[in-house]
Amino acid sequence: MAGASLKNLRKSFGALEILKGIDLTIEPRQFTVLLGPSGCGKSTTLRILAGLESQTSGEIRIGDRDVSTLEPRQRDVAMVFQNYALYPSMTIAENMGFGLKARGIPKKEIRAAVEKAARMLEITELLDRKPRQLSGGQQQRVAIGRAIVRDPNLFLFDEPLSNLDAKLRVEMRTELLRLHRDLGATTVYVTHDQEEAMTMADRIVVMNAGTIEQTGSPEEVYFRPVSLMVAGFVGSPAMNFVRGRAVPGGVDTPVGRFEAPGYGGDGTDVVVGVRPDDLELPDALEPGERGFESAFHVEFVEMLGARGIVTLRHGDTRFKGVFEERHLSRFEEGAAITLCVSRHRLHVFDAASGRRLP
Amino acid sequence: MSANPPGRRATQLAVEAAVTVAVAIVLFPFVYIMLTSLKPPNLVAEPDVWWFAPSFANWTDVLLDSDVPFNILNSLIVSTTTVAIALLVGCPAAYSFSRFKSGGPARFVILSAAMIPPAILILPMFLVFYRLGLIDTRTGVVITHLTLVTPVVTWFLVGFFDEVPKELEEQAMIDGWTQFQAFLRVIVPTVRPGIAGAGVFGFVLSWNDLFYALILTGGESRTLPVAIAGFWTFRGIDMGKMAVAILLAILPILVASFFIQKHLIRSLGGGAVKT
Repeated sequence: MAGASLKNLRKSFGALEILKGIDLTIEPRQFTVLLGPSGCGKSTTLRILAGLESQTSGEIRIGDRDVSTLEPRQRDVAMVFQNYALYPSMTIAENMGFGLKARGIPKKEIRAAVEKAARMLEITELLDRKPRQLSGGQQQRVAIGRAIVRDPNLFLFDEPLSNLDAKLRVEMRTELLRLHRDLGATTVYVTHDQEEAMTMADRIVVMNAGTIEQTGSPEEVYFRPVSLMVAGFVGSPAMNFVRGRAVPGGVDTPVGRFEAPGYGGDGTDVVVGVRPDDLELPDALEPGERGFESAFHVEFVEMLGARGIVTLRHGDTRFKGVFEERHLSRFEEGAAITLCVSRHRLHVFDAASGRRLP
Repeated sequence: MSANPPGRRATQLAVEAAVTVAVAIVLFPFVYIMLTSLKPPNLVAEPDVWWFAPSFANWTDVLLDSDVPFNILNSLIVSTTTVAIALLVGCPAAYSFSRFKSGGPARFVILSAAMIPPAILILPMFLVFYRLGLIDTRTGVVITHLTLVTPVVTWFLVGFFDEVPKELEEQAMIDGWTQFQAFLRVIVPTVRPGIAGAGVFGFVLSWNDLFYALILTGGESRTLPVAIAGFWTFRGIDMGKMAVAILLAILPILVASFFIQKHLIRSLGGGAVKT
């Protein structure tokens, strides 16, 4: 299995610059997820990697080959599209074998390879059907099977699960992970769904407005977001933010003082971020560990089952907190409650640049 | 589903009655022509005779003792060749309009080529064909028909190609095929119903053309419509034989539309390329 790399990749459509210099190394056998809001350039990056779109400038390597100017068919990649793109006039078996046919592989070998992939995905009984006779989930499996049959250098996925219903999506997520473990295939996966990215990725590449914001493991991206954009985009419910001023020993904000030493205390404008999961009841944290403590109004409680999302208000600032079901009885709508946050769980960003302060 | 209320049943009956009337109006000329073709020669000139002993004299005269079978062969050759060439040219053209937006607004004005009155085209064509020795040849007729059929076929197909998702061809290119192979092996089979529809459309246009064929063909290459018109002579109209020839002209179109109607309806409904 090969890796891939992009060097100073740029793409413009007329005056509009979609990619503003992407540098990225995709490690062999890793599951790399390109994550970002729509329009951030993640799909364009993938399409350029596949050769479906040409870059304005920059270099693309797959394995040890420079493929910058090669046609898609010469790059030896397989791709799964959001709408599956199964050939409607062919049977499932023909669909899956179409890539091998292009390489002039004998029919017998194609049949064997198709059947092997079909067994892996449990779609053997569908092989003689036409795509339109299949459900969305089955079509998805076929599209994945078609990619596997090819045994390519690189697997590319363009939001492959977004057309499935929620239950099937979670199932396919697990299935894709299992396949990735079994095949050890280098995979680049594009999604705007941060949950998908968190659960599947070895490495997440967060993109925003044509640039890479952050590259790292899911843990790094979640626990040490480098910018306000990443902090706000990753995690659900989204991180709570409040603006404040850095003063000696901490940050003063409308919801209270955050004790976060080491930010200079020179009066610069900063933004403090608190994950909803990091809001705690006072008895959960030793007083010495608390970096923040304040009283909130409980606006309402959304029960999700094992957990609940509580909307809290302090002055004009609204926070969301996530609490376990057994604690929810302590949140009475309309009443006040004191909450705190561990000093190790605070995120502080420069308000002007949006970058994380160390 | 709830049970049909009486009001809805009445509406349904009214609709069915209206449809029946419409069908009767449409079919009446065909029934009348059919009856005429079976009239014995002495009754043919009398349009209001409805009851008579059927005679096959007109049929045997036309089929065994006239040029009509030869004219049918001419028509078949002309129409089939025209449609084949029109599709061969029209498919790539339509695809190119649809996929690459080539020609810009040309895709919207292409039909205007078919709207130029034949009377304007025929004189220069006649002169050019005369020089080339194409008068009274099937080739000449095919060329004139292409001016009409190619734009219509192309225009008809653009919509079908528009419905094919771009990803199909991209997938084929990633699968190892060139763009042209992707077009031939993936896109064309996907729009097969549209191609069949366009083919029948074009066939009918060519098959029914009288104007060009009448002016360009005299003997050898006479097509069926010209032959039909030929029953109108200085001695009057030979209604019985004309009726037979008309029925023979309708037959292939009827058969063709029957075989493709399933495709045509499905494709016009947009179900052709949904995967």
